[in-house]
Amino acid sequence: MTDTRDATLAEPASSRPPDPESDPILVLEDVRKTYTPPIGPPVEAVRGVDLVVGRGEIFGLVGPNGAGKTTTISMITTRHEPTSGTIRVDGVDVVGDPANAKRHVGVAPQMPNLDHSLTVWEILYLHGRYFGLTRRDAVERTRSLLDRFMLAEKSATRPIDLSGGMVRRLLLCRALVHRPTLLLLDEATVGIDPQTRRAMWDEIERLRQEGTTVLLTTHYIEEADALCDRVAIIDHGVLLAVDTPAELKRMIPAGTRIEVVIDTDLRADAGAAVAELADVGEVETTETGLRVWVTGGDKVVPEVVAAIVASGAHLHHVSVHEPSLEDVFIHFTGRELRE
Amino acid sequence: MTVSEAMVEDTVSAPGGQRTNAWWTFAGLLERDWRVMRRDFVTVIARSGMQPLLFVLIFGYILPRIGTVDASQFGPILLPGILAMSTILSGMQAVTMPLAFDLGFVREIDDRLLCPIRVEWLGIEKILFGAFQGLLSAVIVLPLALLVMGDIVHVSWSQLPALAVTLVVASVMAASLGLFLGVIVRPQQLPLMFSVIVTPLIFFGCTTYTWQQLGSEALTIEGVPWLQVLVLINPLVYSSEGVRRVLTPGIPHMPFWGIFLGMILSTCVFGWVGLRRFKARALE
Repeated sequence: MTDTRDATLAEPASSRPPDPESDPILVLEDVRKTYTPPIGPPVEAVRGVDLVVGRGEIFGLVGPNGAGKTTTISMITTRHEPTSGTIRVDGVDVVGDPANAKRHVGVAPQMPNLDHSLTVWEILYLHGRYFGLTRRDAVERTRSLLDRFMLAEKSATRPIDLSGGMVRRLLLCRALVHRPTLLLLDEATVGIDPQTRRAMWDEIERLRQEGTTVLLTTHYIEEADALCDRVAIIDHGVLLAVDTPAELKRMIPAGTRIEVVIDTDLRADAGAAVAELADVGEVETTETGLRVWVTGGDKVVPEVVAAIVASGAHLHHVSVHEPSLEDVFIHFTGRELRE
Repeated sequence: MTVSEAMVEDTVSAPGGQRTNAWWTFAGLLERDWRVMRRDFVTVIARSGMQPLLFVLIFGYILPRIGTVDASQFGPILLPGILAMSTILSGMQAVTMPLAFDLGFVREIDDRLLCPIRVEWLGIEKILFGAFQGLLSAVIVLPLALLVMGDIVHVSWSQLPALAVTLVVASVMAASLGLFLGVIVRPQQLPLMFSVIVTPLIFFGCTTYTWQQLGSEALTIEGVPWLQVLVLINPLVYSSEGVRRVLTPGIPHMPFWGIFLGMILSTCVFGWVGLRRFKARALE
């Protein structure tokens, strides 16, 4: 994967949002969630998360399936109560005053939970009514959201007859009807085509410009990289790192990653030869060859190739990867995101 | 609702346009159920009206005319029973059927859980709307029953207020029972529910006979009116007797305090257990 946001590496200071602590919209303090299933040991889904999201941020929660992302989201939406710790949305405690907390939050859940007895239009209109919008306001809001997300011609359709991408768009619309200050997107772009995903990214960016704070979970690393001001890496219910994508990439000890495919029986010899080079950090053997971390950027590539050829190994393929969030993730968790 | 009213209410820190009084949310939930019911009106009518209409046709029209039953004696017993039954059945089914699906595999209830209101109120709204549908079916069945049996049972306008009160209490009771059943029955068990719960409810509901008659000597064992006692667990009994007390006071019926107590107790027990279980199932 090639990093497409090198520009931000050059000027991280300007892309960095104001200090979230000064105007927090979401505060999590030592939040834990333990499920006790009828059979088997308790499951610690979230194990002590501290997090502050500032007003106007786009914040990404990145981790593999089962990392605790959805559990965290469901506690913020008051769907599940935390076992311990506090969560405040715009100053409202979600456990103490769930009804009021819900007024500030809009959520597009990972599992679609649309009301199948209603039409697309009714889903949005009634959602507005549930939140106390006047009839006129709810009608107007529904119309503008249907237009904006290109669902107007599906107004009279039931959710069951919508395509996967339309369902995702409708979920996003519903989350926006009551003008929430915090928008939660739980894997909001799963199962939609790349073109629609790009369009959703544009909309998310536009929402931020309109003053909405966005917390999104994703396991598409390029999504977090393209959209988020700050990213938290989460695994096994613990936050491993929280920072801007640029800063996170700086944390990787050796920046550039070189993947080499060679004859496997000579991997050890080739690896030893490469490791002796000056700018080479770590060298790992992979299933197909070597993974080499270098600090000197692209210019080290010829030296690495020369060393491998000199060791007698037959070179099949070389690919060079600028640091990406994927590497950050591998660095912190020791595994690939899409496992 | 004017703009200035909306602004006065928006004192809590809710985002723009939201009126924070929870009654608006409650009203929104009622609006939702009203829309769904209006669209499926034919289904709703067929579901709640079919059985009572068949009862009226068979017992009130066909059997008297072929001489199997004596219309002048049977009519006054039957008509209140039919009215009570249609109210109870439709009030109950209006809650049970959608709720079983809402809480079942598709988990539609999750959509309503986003509402800024305590979860119990979602259940209370179901009771209220179910009661409304119970009353609606009474309003439809009464004229039809009178059309067939009007020459035998005479209903005067002065009886209507008492009838309305009785039916309102009966429909709230029915909807509470509906909530209770809706939260304990899984969608795949609905057919079973009809044969094991609904059918006995109808046949032991004192619809085609009076509660008094169950105490007759032929039905007692060593002087104990076991059947008369056993049917007291059936909420339909109280509404049948309640309607009978209002419409055909000449027919011997359960004392007022018994009817009143039975209805209130059933409503409280089914309503309370139902709401508790509803909350647990909604959040599971």
